[in-house]
Amino acid sequence: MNRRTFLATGAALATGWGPPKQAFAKGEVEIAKLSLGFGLDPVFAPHIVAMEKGWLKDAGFEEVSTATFTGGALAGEALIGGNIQLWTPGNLPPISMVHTGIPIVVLGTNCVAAAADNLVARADANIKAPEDLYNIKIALLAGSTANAVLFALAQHYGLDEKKLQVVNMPPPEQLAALKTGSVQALLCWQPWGHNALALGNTTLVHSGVASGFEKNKGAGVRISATRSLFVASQDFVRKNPKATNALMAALLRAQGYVANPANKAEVIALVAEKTKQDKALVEAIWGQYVFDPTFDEGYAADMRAMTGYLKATGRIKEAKDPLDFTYSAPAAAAGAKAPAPGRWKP
Amino acid sequence: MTGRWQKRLADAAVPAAILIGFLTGWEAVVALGWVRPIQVPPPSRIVASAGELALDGFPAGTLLGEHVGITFLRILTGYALALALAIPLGLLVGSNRTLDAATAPIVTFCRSVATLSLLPLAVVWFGVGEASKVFLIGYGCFWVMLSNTIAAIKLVDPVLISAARTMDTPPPDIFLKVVLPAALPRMVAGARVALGVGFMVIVGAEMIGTTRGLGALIMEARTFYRSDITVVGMFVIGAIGLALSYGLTRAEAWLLPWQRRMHERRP
Amino acid sequence: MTPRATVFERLAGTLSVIAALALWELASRFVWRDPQILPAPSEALLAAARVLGPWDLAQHVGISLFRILAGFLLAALIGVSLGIVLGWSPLAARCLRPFVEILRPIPPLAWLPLSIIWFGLGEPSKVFVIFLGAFFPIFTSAWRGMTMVSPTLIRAAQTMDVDGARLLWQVAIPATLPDIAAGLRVGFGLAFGILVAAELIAAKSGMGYLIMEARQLGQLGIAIFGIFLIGVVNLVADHQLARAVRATVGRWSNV
Repeated sequence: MNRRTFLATGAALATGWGPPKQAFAKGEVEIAKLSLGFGLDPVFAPHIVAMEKGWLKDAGFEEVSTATFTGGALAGEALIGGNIQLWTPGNLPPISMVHTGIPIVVLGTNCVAAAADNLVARADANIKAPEDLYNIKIALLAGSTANAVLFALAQHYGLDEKKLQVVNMPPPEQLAALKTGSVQALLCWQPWGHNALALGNTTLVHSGVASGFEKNKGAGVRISATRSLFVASQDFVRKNPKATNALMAALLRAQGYVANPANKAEVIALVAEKTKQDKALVEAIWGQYVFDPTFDEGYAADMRAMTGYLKATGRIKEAKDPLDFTYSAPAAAAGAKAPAPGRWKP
Repeated sequence: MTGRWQKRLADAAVPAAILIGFLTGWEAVVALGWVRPIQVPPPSRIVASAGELALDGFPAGTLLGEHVGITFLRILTGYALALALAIPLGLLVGSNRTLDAATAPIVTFCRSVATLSLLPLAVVWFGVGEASKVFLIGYGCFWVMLSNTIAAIKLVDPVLISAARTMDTPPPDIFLKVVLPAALPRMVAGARVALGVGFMVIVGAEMIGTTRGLGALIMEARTFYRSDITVVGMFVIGAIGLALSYGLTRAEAWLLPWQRRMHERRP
Repeated sequence: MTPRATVFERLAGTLSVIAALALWELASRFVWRDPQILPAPSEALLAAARVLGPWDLAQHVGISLFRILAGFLLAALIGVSLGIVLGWSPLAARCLRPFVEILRPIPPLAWLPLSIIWFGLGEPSKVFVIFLGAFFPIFTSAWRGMTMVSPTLIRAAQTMDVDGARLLWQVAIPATLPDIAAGLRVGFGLAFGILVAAELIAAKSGMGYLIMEARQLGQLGIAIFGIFLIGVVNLVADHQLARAVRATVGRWSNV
């Protein structure tokens, strides 16, 4: 056993997984250049760690670059065009893509980000009960995971989601509108929820996993099915099986590192630096992300919930089962548990 | 009478033929597999999606007609406001050397500010209703129309003005009857460019507070990777712009009957 | 164009800019007093100075200028040529103008996904978007200018046996130059305006990128600084363009 494999096994054991079934052999991947879709978001922690520690290079990719998109669906187009090989979106866009017939495949969960969705309202809006939401304007990005969360909230509390006054706009404008009072609440992922709360005179009405309503304050109510996923094109996976396995191995290794509480301080510092966010901010929201690649019923349920939202709002006609476009083998080979594995095969 | 219709038909024949040839070639290129449908959706797919848009709507419930109507109204309002402000201002500034020199840097500067940059400011200043959209659309139109109007006045042939002066024309008449008519053709060209800019900014303008409108439609189509609907949206915008452009040409011919085209004199 | 007139113009221009900035600063401090509504120029500068060194700044400006110039030159070349051809030949105009007019109103933001798929994530896709922004005003001015060339001029030339290609090159085009010049300047300004949209395509640097990143991070001061930066660079570049234009077009124009 050479030193590299020894260290790799040690690292994997330390993170609580079994030893990876594939050693990180260099130079065996089909492609030398790798481009990752990137963003200014703490969910990219595994990518950041994998690049910083050189694990992607160890996996055999000589040249690793990132393509940063400040929001918007453009990264998906880049994936289709072959300009990036890995895309890390929320779980809504890839489901939309599959239903439009674009051949992509989900390689695994980057992190569960349900707790990172937050519905924040102005204190003067006086939101105490779910029905109070009818009286205010809620800013969110139409068609995003935040929209799906509101939909689920309405369903859970028996509200008519058509009666909710939703105002569509991108996150930075949501914050500005909340501040000036053009809207009385916003529903968004981090760091926008945190920034909204930091404005002062605002309250957390509901998070993705817990309620802030008076009647069930603090109760665990899971209305968000948001996950951050690893997505690649089917073409790429078919043509480059070794590269796919190596990529997932490196990412999962980084993911384990990120999930390990012992590395929390280091990872937060790294993420804050690379995403140009305030370190205190990253630290405050860190606990809301669960970096876990397991393919379990929770994964399938979250994906089906998102698909259900798309169908209920008329954006897709026939729902496809998410496991049909999930390819869990590479992640499983790198140590991820898969009690409910994906059904896609190259 | 028949002569005129025949001429109209003949005039339309060549561009129509080119258009048909272009569409056929496009469809063929995709069908043959030289170009993937992802890169360019074929005309057949676009027509099908247009039908879906018109009948089912996208997102479901909002029909194409509704999108068109709303955007049209917004553009018209922003454009009209912009022109109403830019034309008098442009005429004033163009006629006065000092004013022109003083405002030139500011005009050039403001012309370069992108609509996207103004989004956060628009929300703060105008809220999330129709006002912010009209502002964003009008902003682009205004500076372009202003620049063009100023240039139109400045480019009036000095010989015309001197000639008018030698005939003892009082200054207000020089402006109204000599300078203005001479500047009108370029102002209309400027109005045409300004209209184009008004359309150009609607995706950005309709990002705030609405899911209805052609710009919002394109963003929605993008969010859900319906590139065919994006292309339909682009086509519809283009078609409306084309129709308005030809309308503008007719208006121009009516406004400026004395303007003889170069072609009409060439044997 | 006497030298004294140019100095006077520049003075008037500079004074008005200073006045505008002063007004803004005062209003920001005493009228609305809330940096969220509109930060004062001084605040914007300070915010930017805190995170941007001179070398970073130069890099952002440099890469954006490259993209703008590339897109603008392409637009100028194709726009002027097409405008002249369509202005000269009514047949060409009837055939090709519909295509131009149908493409003109399409928002560059709508082109972004196609631009990525056709041209990738590098410079070509950004240059393409900038081209789209600058092309249409340039084309329109060139085309309109051609069609508005005084028929008297044409006939006069024809009486001197100048016709065909010579008529085009030696009479019509020079007569169109003032309009082309005006169109070039408007197109140039729009190229700057489009920069922000173009740099949404996975840019890692650039003035537009600066603005969008500041927007994502909620830093309004830096966003305003970015807008300023684009405007100032545009002013300087436009001034150079105006000089170049005046040198070529000379006494026919005072644009």
